Amino acid sequence: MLFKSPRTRGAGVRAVHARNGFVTVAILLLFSGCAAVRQAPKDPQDNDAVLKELDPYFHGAVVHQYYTEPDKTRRVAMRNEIVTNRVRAYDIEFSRYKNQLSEFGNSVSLGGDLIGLALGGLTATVGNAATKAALGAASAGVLGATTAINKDLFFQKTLPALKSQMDANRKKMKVPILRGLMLSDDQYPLSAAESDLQNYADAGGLEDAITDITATAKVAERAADNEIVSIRTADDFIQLPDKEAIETSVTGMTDSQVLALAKLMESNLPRRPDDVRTAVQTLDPDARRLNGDVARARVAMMAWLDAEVMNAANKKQWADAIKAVSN
Amino acid sequence: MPRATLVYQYPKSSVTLDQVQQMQQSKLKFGASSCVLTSDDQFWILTTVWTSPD
Repeated sequence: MLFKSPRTRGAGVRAVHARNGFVTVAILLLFSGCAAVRQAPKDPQDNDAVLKELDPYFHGAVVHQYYTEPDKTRRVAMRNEIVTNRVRAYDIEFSRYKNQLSEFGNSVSLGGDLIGLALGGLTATVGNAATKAALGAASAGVLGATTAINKDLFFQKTLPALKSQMDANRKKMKVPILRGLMLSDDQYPLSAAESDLQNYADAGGLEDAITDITATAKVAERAADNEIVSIRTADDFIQLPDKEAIETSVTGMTDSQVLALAKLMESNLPRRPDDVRTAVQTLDPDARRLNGDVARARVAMMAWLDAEVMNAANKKQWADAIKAVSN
Repeated sequence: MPRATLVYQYPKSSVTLDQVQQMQQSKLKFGASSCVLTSDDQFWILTTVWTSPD
């Protein structure tokens, strides 16, 4: 029990009982609220089932078929299928790992902080001295424990940086795989891909992320100078005339038109590939393009266009937006 | 000053030097701070830097 029953009588007893009842209910509610707030929407996909489906790509008949396939073109297709499905499995596991980290860190710090703050608040508002003392001690205990855990695990402040570093490490290790998938089987056999895949799987570890961050200690600087590596295809050259036509239109826009274009295109940004989103967010991290900063809007739009895969759907979005702001 | 570096790798098996150079010139024409073309044995590598003006 956190507090003693007060020794009063009559109406005073009822009032104190009512107050104590409120405190008890409040504490129960607070502790029942310790469950972690989800850091990401629930995945509607049954990942266990997907991982089971992907299991054959790690061993067995599928791999055996690849090694016994005499036709080189078919071997490339089989290699790419095996590699992309393994990458998918690693991505699912990594996503789970990140969510677990978030939910653990969140349940410790958020739940503990809220309980501590709420107990502290109640300590200041309830009248009885004994209750105040008990609540104050409980509050200090909760906050003290939370602070100790956070110090040990670096979760409260460093988890976002660690997750960014893990993402960066994985992206870096994915490049050789994506490059390899563009090559012939002679140039990039499955055995070579397996080595790269292992590096990719290992790159999502917490220890590497901590090591990298500690080694450079320049997270903010890296965020301001973001390098985005992508494997592109000949489509970029085929689409160049369409892209240049749109770039010419945007370059010739007035300031107000560019600002309006940035706002119109914003709803499309979340569905763009990682390189487009990263480029725009790196160049305009605080989204000033949406709040009247013309220079930011211009550079963000031009970098977006540079990174854009100008397929028919994306071309139409740009054309529609340009038309809308030009009227 | 925010700066984004886009490193695009094009397989030599499907993209020619002339095509990559045309893309390089286009990026510079439309506002990239710099665009450098390098290569390794299998890929053309275009490294484009975009810089926010503030």
